[in-house]
Amino acid sequence: MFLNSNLFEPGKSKLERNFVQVLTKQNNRLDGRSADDFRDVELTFGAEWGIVALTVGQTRVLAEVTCEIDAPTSARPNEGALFLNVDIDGVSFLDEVQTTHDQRVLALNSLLERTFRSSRCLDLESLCIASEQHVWYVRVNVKVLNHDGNLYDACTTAALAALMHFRRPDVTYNDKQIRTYSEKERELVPMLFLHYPVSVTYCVYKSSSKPVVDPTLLEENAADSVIVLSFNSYQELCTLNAGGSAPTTAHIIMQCARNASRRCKSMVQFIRKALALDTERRQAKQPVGLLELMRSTMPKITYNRLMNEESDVPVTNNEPVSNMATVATPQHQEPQNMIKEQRKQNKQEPVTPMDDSTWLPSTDEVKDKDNPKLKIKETLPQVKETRPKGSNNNRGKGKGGKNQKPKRTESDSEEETKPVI
Amino acid sequence: MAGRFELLSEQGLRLDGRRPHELRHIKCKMGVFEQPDGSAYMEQGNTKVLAAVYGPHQAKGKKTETNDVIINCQYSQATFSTSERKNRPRGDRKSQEFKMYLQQALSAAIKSELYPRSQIDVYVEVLQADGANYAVSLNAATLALIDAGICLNEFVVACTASLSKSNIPLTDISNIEEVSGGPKLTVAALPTAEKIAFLEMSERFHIDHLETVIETAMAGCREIRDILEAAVKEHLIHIGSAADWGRVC
Repeated sequence: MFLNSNLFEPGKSKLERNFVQVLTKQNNRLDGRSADDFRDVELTFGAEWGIVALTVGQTRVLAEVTCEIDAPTSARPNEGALFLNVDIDGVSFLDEVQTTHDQRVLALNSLLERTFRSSRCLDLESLCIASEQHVWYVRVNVKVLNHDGNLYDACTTAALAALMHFRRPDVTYNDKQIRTYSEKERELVPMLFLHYPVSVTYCVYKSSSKPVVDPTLLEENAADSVIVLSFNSYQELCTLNAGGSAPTTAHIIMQCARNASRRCKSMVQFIRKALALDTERRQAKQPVGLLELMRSTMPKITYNRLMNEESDVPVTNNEPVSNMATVATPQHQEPQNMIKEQRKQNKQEPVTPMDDSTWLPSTDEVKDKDNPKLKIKETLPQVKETRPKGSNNNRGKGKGGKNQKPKRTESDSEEETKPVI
Repeated sequence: MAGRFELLSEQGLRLDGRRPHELRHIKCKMGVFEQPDGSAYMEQGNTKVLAAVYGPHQAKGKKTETNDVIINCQYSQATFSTSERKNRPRGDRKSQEFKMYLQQALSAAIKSELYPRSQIDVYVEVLQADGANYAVSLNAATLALIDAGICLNEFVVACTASLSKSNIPLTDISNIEEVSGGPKLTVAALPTAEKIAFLEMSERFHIDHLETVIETAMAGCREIRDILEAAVKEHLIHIGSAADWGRVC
């Protein structure tokens, strides 16, 4: 119907592009974050092992892990195999032109493959049951439910969390016969990892040399280059992809790398904490499952909350500030102090009122346009509507925010206390 | 292949007898075909690549972008290019990826504002694949663009680098070094401006080594650039010899 259907996506029109370029030059971002601020990450585990719904801002991703027994390849007879697949079909407002769609899907898939398969993150030999005959094939399916920028990070984090959460049935091999034990007979076995990779995305614009981290869809489409770095918790680089029409220097890439490695380490810690919380809840027979996305009976597992609960160790968070200070303007020092103060304040007053007035009205409009047009294909009926909770949703529906505040006793307000890494 | 075996012997020689910082032997020729606007043939060691450029011409169909040029690339590997017959020369995942990377790197090099509403087609065919396929394709594409007379900001040159087990960086890896499972970093750079147009890395190594490996690849790019520039000048002298305008530099 519309010849230029790509105008549905924020950031593809020239006007938006120019605006974002000007903003970046002034070191501003549409949602008020600084160039080094990440959006809050929220994890919800499913009732079954290996199902994870991850939210980064408005980007929502669902990851699912399955396994089956099959014959191994002749090249590697004593190793299992890991397959990853990303599906972006569910999001309908995206560009319908075939080439861009394919490129996006291709880039996602290739990145996921390089991050997990090429870097050998799972111990594949542990997946072998009988050499040359039976091995486990582990498949990770990631489905994108909503795209608001930074799909790379969301997909890798979701895939990692799902793999770490997943348990496979125990199996014995006697007299050439496989015996699979169900959950009631023997406990399920978790996956063995060699390392834990997570990725961080930066966007580079022609107007300024400083890269912007964790872009929204608007920022991503208006970007000239995208740098994706994937680190594991041992500060090893697993993948690096930098490309686009704005060339960068090695110096900038190294700075991004240093900040990204720190962020990845804390991300893996967060996933571990979230997993521990989930096992706690299961043992305490509390309600678990994706239904928690809709209800707010249990406090949400968000990055800010879990990482701020640990003892005040602002030292690790301040180092990146001093590193980036060489590139950053001096204005950045002030927000850091503000954030530290606010974090201390938050410890004293658990009920932090969310200040709706800090949000620029333009963000509301842009996000509101996307919401009604979303027709999310439902893999699970629970993950359907926009959740009643969540400051991001409250931005779009101002009235809902005030109703939600008394319930959110334990989560910090997102943007203001975002740990700057 | 069961894990990484040592890419560097005790004497400091690689599998094909090179030193760690040595590039493979490069041979290139411009203007190999008559029909396309620009063409080039490039050999780097055993990797042989042909590139052809058509353009700039009118952009076809709905692809018209008002102010920027559309760079349409195609990366294809001949069926006889690998040791086992390649069933699908183009259209598989790897080729689509390389096509995207070629587009990204070339868009940083071509002066897009000079060709509004136009399209430049770049076709790359790998005749023999022996490692660093993408890098050699990009170098061949640059030469073909120059042969076609398309304005570039600068030479865009690509080079690969790796890290041996004893953490010595290696430049320009061949197929066997690639397959043995060591980390592989491909850099497409604008050497004089010292900017990176495209960077891709797989496998893993510690962040402390990242800087050295990038620097090694950049040094390789600078060397290749000098070689390409010499080739361009030679080509100019050759085609301009009749009217004697070849001696411009």
